[in-house]
Amino acid sequence: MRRTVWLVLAVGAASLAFAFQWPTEGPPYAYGFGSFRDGFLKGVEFDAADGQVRAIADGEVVFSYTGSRLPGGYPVSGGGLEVLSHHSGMMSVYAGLSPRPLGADRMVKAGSPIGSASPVEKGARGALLFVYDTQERRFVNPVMVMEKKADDKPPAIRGAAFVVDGREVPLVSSTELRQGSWFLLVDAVDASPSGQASPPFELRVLVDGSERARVLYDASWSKDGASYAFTENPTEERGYLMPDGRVRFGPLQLARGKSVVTVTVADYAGNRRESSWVLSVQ
Amino acid sequence: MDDQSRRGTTITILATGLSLVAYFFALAEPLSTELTAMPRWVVPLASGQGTASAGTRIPFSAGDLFGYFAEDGSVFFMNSAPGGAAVADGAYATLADARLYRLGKPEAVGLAGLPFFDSGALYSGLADGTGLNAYDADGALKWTYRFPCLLSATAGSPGLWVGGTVDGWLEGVDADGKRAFSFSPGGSRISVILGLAVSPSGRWIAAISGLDRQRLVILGRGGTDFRVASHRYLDSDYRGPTPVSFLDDEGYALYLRPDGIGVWSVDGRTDDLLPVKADGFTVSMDEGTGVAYLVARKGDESELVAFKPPARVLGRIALPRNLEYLRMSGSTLYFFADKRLARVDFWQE
Repeated sequence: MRRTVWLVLAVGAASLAFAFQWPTEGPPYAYGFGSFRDGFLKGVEFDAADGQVRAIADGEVVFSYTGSRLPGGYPVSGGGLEVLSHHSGMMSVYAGLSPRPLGADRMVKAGSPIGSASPVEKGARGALLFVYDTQERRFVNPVMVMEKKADDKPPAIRGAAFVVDGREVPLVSSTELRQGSWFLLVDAVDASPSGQASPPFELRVLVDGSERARVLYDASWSKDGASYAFTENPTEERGYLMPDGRVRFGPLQLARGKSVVTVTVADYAGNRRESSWVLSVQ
Repeated sequence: MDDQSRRGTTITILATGLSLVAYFFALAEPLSTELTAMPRWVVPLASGQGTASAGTRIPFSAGDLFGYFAEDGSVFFMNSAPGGAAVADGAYATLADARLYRLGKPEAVGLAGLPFFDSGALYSGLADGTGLNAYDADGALKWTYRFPCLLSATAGSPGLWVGGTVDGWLEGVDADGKRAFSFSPGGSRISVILGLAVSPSGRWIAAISGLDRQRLVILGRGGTDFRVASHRYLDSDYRGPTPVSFLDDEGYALYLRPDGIGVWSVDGRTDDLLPVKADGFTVSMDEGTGVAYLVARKGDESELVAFKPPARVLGRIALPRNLEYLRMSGSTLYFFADKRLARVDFWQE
């Protein structure tokens, strides 16, 4: 708990002191932190419509490479990688761009071009931006440290379903279920300001008014080869994020009788939405 | 000429004579050994070739072209695919569509991520650059390992794969996908891993790390863990992938430095230099003769340097420009340039 508080304070302080700039003009990103992009996206995926990718803050070039593979054969996403170290202890990593040739001065200014990326064709992958906390060794949701974009649209809850042993029961206004242990699948998206289907910043699940799960899309990290997210309630990403983009909570114990399941979602700007379903548990 | 200058000349002649005696008897090391390069064959390569051949199949990949050839220059199989293929002894994987083709088996197997081979084992990288998938010989996923940060250098040996991250950590993964060790060289103003090599036996790891100042760090296996065996600070200021490699006898690590190729013994007792200008290099050793062959690249030019470790140069020859493929086996060099594959053998007379 104390660790969580320190991280939130550290990131909050960093965001106040160093409000990073988005790397492109126009929409800040296409896919947000936590989107399913061959797994849990640990940064944001963006489209450099004008081809220019800019430094998000003053920093120093730590690593710059244009090539499809590292010397050991490991592939480089999008064929280019640029890493900047910032005074705040944060690192910004840009993948899928062609870095500018390094000059004698390895220092860059916020907003200065650091490379180019091709505009993204429909269905193709864009360039990636990761914000990495070198002290905590974890990826931080970029929206927490970047300039805030105007956003008055709440996220959408497109649906929810209970699932057990491969059997899926979509939640409608009144749903009948047998008692026992169920997983809840939630389909919730935030299309603003990304313009695409990114996950909301906060997701809560309540059963009969009692909070049963809460995740805050603040950070992602790896330990012993496994990948986790959410500082407050660490969750292994593999069992949480489904390939179709839905997220899974549970198992939730449902007792016989009437129950109300409520899902609330919020974006980073604080816009909220809530949906509830009445269950008849047999 | 007066007496004083005559005495000086005599002393000079005597000193020179004594030096020569000392050289031949005290420093009895032969001068340059005659190294001969013998071209064996040149064959044009094109997609669609395929003639059965006896002998060892040697994997080949250059640009979109890939396949197998034999030591005698006969082409076993040659094909092309957009983006090319990763090729190993018994299988190849096309890169654009991530499909595995096993020699002798007609069906292809789909893979997740971007495939590559390391020490004969099949892996793929996760699209975000933070993870590794490992497969068995039939392309079935064995395990997935997620690293804490993006990878900037990687290397492997049978049973050990090591990832170096942009935040300056080394993390080793064993054959079962379990973490073998984790280590941060540190010691620099900014941590980053720029170069990485694992010795053939997996006993030694070499890393180029950090900015201001950069370091070469050698880790040695001690029980189940790795610990620092030797290190040295470097004068370089590289900001991208930096080649480092072990000689096959595992006694020395070679690394790129601004004034040539450094030769560093794993115990830290030898710090020598091969006077070779390069952006990158590959090195191989003929353990039968004890001669090492280094192919140094600078821009589109390459040269082969034969040397006795640690750094006694035996000879050097320029190689064709724009080399696209290179493989050393003992004292035999195979290379591909201008759509032609060639073999050259070296021997000492």
